[in-house]
Amino acid sequence: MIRFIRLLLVVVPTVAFAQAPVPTDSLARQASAVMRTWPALIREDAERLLDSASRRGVPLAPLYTKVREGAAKMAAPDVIVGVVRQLEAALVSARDILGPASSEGELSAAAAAIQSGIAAPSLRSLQSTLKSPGSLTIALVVLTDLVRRGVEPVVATRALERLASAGATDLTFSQFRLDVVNDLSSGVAPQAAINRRADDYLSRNLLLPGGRRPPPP
Amino acid sequence: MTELPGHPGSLPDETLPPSVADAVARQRPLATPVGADIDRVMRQVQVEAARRRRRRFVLAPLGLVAAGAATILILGDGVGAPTFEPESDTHPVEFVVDQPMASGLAVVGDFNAWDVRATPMTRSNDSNRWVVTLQLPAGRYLYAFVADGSRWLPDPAAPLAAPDDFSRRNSVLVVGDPRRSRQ
Repeated sequence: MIRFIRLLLVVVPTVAFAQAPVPTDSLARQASAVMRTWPALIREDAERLLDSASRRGVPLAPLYTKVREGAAKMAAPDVIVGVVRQLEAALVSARDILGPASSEGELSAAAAAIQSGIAAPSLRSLQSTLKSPGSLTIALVVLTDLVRRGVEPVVATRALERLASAGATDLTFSQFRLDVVNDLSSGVAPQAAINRRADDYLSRNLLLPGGRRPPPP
Repeated sequence: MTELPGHPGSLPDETLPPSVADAVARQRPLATPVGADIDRVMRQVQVEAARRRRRRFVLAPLGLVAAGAATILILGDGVGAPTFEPESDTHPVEFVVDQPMASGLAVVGDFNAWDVRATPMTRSNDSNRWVVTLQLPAGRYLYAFVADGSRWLPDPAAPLAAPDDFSRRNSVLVVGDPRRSRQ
């Protein structure tokens, strides 16, 4: 315990507390400031795109931040507009799949999954299978990560659905991802890693803290 | 029973996730983070403490960091977000990365409008670890580290984001209950 506290005393002075994140209206101003430096045709294209997104009810903060992200990464204006257009389309698809009541976080996570090649039926199926409220964003983040690491989308979705249907929580999904990533780092093939881990979690009741079984539906 | 250093509460071991109990028992050092479910764990700690001691909870800086360490150890990836105030709108999130060769490091992401100058990190005195803590509302955020003003790095322990089409890789952070997101 003493060693732990000593470590914390070392760490505490190194921690800097920064301000809260930028509000959406400020993001809009910052995106506009970036776009004002662009050639007129590209700027007008971007403005039309953002207007259209606003009319369609797509959350705008992810689009504004994508403009800022592109500028920070020194991308060309036409490239940034293309990326924003793709993101807007993915957000629209995500909202159509998950429903209009979805949060910005859920829509952004679903849009990322779509952009990673995960099909709409998989997203619908995962959403309907989840029993733990609030887990959809985490489940989608984990799904996208595993697919990016080489697991086939259908296989990854099926494994997460198995966990979800048994009552997996946010923590379950996060720990599951870590375990699969560790297996991949050890050289286990992606499909074998995820299926083996899913079997293990289900057979050893690792879905809830302390190895408890989820309550019956 | 498991008690977090600097925190006026404790829980029966069986109510903690095994990874938390194991981490606290082993007194392992800080690793990189993310906490999705830590809210629930810490609320449970707080409820237990309030019930037993019947006194107002006061958050000490050391307690915050200690609980942050527990959060980080739970998931061992991304960025942890412990909260001690269920009504709080923001969560302290600690970013940690080892970059021994860097002379300067910053974290950039959706939370600071990708401003490379907005959130510099601080090198800890005795290691090559760079650290910064932000107060973030619940939600999902993309982020990356920038070393020496130009070298972009994903968080090696965090989930990967979708391809960003800018030839860089981002990481993903989920803070608190994502249904209570920014908009």
